[in-house]
Amino acid sequence: MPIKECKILTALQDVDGLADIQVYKQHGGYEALEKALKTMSPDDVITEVQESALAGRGGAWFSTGMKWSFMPKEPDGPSYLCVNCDESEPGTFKDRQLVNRNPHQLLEGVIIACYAIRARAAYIYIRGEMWEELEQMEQVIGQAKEAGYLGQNVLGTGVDIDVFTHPGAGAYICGEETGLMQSLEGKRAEPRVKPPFPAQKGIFDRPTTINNVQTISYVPHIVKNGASWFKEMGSERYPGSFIYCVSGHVKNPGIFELEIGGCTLREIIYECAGGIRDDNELKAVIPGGSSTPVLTADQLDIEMNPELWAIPGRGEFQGMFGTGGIIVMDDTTDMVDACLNLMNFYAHESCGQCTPCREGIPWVRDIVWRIAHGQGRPDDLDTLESVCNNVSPLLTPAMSTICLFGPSWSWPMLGFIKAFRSEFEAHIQKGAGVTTA
Amino acid sequence: MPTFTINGQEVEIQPGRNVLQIAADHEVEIPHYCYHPGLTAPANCRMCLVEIEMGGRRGMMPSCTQMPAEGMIVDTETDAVKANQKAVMEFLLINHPLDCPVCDQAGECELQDYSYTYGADHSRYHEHKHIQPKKDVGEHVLLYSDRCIRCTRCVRFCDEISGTSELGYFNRGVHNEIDIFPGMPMDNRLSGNTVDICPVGALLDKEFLFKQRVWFLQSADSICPGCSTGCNIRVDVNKERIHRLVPRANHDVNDYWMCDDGRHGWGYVHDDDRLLFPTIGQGDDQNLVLWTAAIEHVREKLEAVKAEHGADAIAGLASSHLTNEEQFLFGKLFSDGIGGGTIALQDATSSEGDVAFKSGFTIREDKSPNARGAQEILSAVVGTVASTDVVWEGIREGRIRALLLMGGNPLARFSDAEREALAQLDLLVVNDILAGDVSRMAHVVLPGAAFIEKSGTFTNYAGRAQRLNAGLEPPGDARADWEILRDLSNAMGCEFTMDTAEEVMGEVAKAVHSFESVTHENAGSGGMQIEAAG
Ligand SMILES: Cc1cc2nc3c(=O)[nH]c(=O)nc-3n(C[C@H](O)[C@H](O)[C@H](O)COP(=O)(O)O)c2cc1C
Ligand code: SF4
Ligand code: SF4
Repeated sequence: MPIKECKILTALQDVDGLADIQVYKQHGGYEALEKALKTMSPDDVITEVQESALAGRGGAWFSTGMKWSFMPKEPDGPSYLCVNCDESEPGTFKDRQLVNRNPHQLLEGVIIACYAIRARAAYIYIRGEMWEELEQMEQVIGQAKEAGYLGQNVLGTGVDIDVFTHPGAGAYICGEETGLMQSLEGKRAEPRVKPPFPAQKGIFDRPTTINNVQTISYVPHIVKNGASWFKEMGSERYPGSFIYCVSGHVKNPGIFELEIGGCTLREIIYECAGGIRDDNELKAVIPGGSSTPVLTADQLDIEMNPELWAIPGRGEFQGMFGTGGIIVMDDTTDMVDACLNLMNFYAHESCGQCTPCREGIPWVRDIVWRIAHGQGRPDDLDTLESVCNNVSPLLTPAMSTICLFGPSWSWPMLGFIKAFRSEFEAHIQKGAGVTTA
Repeated sequence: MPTFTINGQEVEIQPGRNVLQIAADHEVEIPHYCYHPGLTAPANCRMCLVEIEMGGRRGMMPSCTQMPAEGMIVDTETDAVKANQKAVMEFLLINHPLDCPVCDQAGECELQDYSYTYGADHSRYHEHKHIQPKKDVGEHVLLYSDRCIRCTRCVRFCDEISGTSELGYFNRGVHNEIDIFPGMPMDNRLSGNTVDICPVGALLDKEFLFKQRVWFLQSADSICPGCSTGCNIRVDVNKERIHRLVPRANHDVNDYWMCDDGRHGWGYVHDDDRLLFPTIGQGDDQNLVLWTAAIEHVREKLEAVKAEHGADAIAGLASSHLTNEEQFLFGKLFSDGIGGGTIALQDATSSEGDVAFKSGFTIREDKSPNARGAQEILSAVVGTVASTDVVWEGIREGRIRALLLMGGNPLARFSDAEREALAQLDLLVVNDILAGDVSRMAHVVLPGAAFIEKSGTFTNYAGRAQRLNAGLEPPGDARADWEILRDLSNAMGCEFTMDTAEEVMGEVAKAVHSFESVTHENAGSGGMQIEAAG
């Protein structure tokens, strides 16, 4: 199967000066906005997006149109849109590219989305480390305002929409949707208990929709070209394209926008990313951001179609599709070390609010640390599995934590043991007799 | 009423009550840490997860935030629920110091209790514990963070009830820690409540620290005598001493809280200056006597004043620290025993006025626990309650020759002018609990009982009659004031036969319209509203 490039969002990647509204307009920019606001009702836009079957690209693949339809049609006060540009999942770097290279595309999508869900304002929550992107986004908002695409009475339609940027507070958990909302309100990014869901009670206790940068960036294209155009690409349940971020031991790391389902994981690694460095053997692949369980070299012929994966598609393939962050490891990699590296990250990033996560992840990290440092104990793997299962068993909906951060470390931990048990056991055996008390 | 099911039992949905609360109403205990009925629920401890089935979907949900719905199925005893409880217990204990033997909370610790019921009997934790420091966070409170389970009850208390927000939640993950902001101690006047609601031994009362093992404590339900709010309290005692006061929940009065002034205000009960024996004679000539002699002496002197100057030469100053029962007997002593005289009521107000907190909890300006009851009962029994000015003037002008000073306010101080006036009296009878200038001036001293040493009722500012129960014996020969007043009244010709404060209340109910339906039994543990005075 030849790889089908499918450049929707990255089509203008290499155009110089795209952050300038004039350049963006020369390439058809803001035509979708004009179309939506002048020829479509808000519900028309929601219907179009619903028909396009656009699904959230933040990792959960939830139907965007459905999410929008939960918003009140006749709000009794302000509703809001939040754009999640906190992108902190290790291995994932697509959103940054999108705001960096084509910020107006995002902004146009934001304004259309606000119109559709009747939001008075949107907040683009940009990861604190992306300072340049934040400054550029502010300039872009200023240009759009001047052009009448934003602010009071947008394009003379009587609709008022404001867009604000908000710098992220510097933690992975700020990207979890309700953690983000807490952070936006100036509080600790401690995820909220659901229900109430954001569409009922989001930022400032008002109805709120939250979407990922990539998700929103598709909106102008869907509005401009129609849902059926979008559905021609990709799989039936998950049409369109997806941006993969390939990193690790490959010759040609980078981002690749491909048609959904158009290729296998192996093809992305070997064709797009040029294969393994130094022509080493491939050993392991994390398929969709660090929270997705690691796969072994014999699992790479799975088609990159979320429908076929256990999560989100409940498909046969026991893997999680995730955010497109493909992390490739060659045979020089010590899997216990790799696992420790990840668990260090999660131990550092748990907000610590709820018991199983706050206490569980440092425990897991400490055990993996011991194993990696030759101090493993025979019962360590049992303990690791049991602790992880007490948080959330692999690829199951059962979880004891407030937010999905719990499964975000228990699944990959269980995944590492499942895929590389013998390597863990070897480390433990090597360390036998040197156990700590 | 719509219903739902808990463990197969069909129960009614109560508006505003969550699954955890309704389960408790039906004797189904769901263990929990972070949830407290007086605070918002963050559902962070994850101990109260139960299985909930609704619309064909089944899953584990926190029962503290879950509101029931028609047809919902709640199961609290399934394997999954038990496994989660066991797991949460394990998580909470891995970094806990397990220093129960030296922890004040031992014996009333939810971590300890749930550990027996829901936990495991061994640890499989081999890592280094993440240890947090011990901190001094306020005038009354220490925080041993190493024992903290981060339920955030204390933080929410300061945000939602006191409204002072001194406590914060700092750092992230396993390093997150409860603390004050630098240089800004938790000095709100409700701070002691954080110690009560801390489910473990992390927040500690400095005064109680290392003083008692809680299983040695006996307790008596009482009413805080600190102000007219009348917070419902439990007094914990052991070996003839109070060791602490803690609030009892009462939604009509104090919710779950009490103020630090009241909580730490009991020191005088065990003061070295407690009056222990009745005495006759002033100053250095005060002689210890038996009660019979003291009462007889007062009778003789009162009769003498009455014979020489008439009943109107006798006055009484009642204290609002006397119970309703005692006010009644004091009134009766004058109306039926002495057959006249003047009664005035000493009040005690604070210059700072009412102090109200975010939740509405109020420390009242009126520092007497029973001003309202005293006013209603005395005026019903003797007609008019005079102002204290009338009494002081009467003394100064020589019209009043004998004064019964009853039931001192432990905080009251008399002015020089007032003390001068007292010195003019032919007879000064002082019933009080602490020795002081005035008791040394008295011709007769009748040592009374502190609030924890007697039973009876106080009527709070809102007209709620609330019971206090004796938890200690009065020291030495001191007696409950109502007993003193009964005997004094009888010496003056009354024929009271009651042996308990409860029986006195029976008489109050007959005589005072607004107390018509008040009995100790009716007042129960939460008190009862008296009828509007008519
Ligand atoms: C721990 C955690 C971190 C997350 N971080 C991000 C993030 O950085 N960016 C993002 O778009 N979504 C992130 N998500 C997913 C969001 O919660 C949310 O599902 C998403 O923003 C919804 O947008 P979508 O429907 O357009 O995908 C994270 C989720 C979890 C549990
Ligand atoms: S699961 Fe972890 S990150 Fe999520 S709320 Fe609980 S402690 Fe915080
Ligand atoms: S100090 Fe006590 S009340 Fe406060 S968070 Fe810790 S355990 Fe909870």
